[in-house]
Amino acid sequence: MTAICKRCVLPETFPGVSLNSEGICNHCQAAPELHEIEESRKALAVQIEEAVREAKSSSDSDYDCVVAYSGGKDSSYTLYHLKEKFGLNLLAVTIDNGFLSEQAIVNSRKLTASLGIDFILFAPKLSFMSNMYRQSLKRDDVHVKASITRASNICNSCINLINNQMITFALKNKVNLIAGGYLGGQVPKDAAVMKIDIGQQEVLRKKRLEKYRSAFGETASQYFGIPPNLINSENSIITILNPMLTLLATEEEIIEKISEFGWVKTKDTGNYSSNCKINDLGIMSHNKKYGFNPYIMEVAEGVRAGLIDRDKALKKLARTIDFEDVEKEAKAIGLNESDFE
Amino acid sequence: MKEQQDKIKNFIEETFLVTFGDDLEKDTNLFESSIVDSYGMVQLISFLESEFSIKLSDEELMSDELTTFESISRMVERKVSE
Repeated sequence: MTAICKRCVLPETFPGVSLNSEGICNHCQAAPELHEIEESRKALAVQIEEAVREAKSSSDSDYDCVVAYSGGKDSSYTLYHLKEKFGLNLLAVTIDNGFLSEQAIVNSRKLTASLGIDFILFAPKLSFMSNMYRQSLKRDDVHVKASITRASNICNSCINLINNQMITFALKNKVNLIAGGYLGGQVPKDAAVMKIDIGQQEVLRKKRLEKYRSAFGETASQYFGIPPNLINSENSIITILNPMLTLLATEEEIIEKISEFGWVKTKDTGNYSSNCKINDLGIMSHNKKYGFNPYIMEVAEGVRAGLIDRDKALKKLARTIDFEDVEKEAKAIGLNESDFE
Repeated sequence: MKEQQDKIKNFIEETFLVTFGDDLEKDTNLFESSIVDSYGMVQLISFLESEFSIKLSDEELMSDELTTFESISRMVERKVSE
């Protein structure tokens, strides 16, 4: 039986995890105290405030910030937070991956309408998305190795596509600020504010694009590439915000708040997602391939920060996902049970 | 200096799930060889700043100094002695 950290929920099968004689993992041993986590969050919140101020003062766009908006609970809360706390004029962009819950799209429309936010729904070709998911499940060489500690392979492909699309939307609208609803564990806990120089990364971008084309076909250029004519020396630095890393809100508090704006919990998105129907397929495959749940670091961070009850987390993690639970989505992208053996 | 290099090497191996000699060499570009992505970059900067009590400037963060184990080690050595 796999040993699990007695303080958080990380199993010894997770890459880089070792348990001491008391059964405590190396992450918990190195973790700051709760009051230090709180101080660190406050410092990151100040960084976000400064980044917002700087971006607003240097922008001549109609919009202050493009938000990667999935319609799920965390990006809905991010949208609410940026609007209410900073009064930003936001452009919410949802990428319909072909497997979004209808309820998630309804939620996106309701929230953006209630908060007075412009909203774009962009749906890449379903044939491309299905192939992208199929290849992501079959191959191990599309993303950096460490990405398996943050998300499943299909999620990592989707996240990279969304990030590229957000940069493209930002450049087209002359916006230099992008926000997402990622949590600790999904991204490093220090990644509340990230500055990237799009112009300087040209060589790197081309190399990554070659990889995506090789894995997903030539059409990948359309979704993973950034049109070079959009980039110039004046707009090449983009700031990316992950405000959820600075907010101490439990899942219950998040849902209570966004429900005020008409958000309703989905019933068809499995155990972990609040917007995507194909998420559980990625989790099942990840579990089989690597021996741990791709959400486990996010859950462990939540337990350490006092946002998630450990016993509840263990119960949730103990629920297994069988092929019959994800058969419909697997078949929709052309895979059968034998592809996961 | 040897101790600093060992710490950096161990961090790269443990965080990015790679092994020196198998997956990379001292002069391998960590980004171009798909070992580190933008989130990994944040982890790397955070580690260097906290482990060696240094602060990297915006210019240093955007420079080529953070691309290989060799150049990172040289930069840390310089920053620590400043």
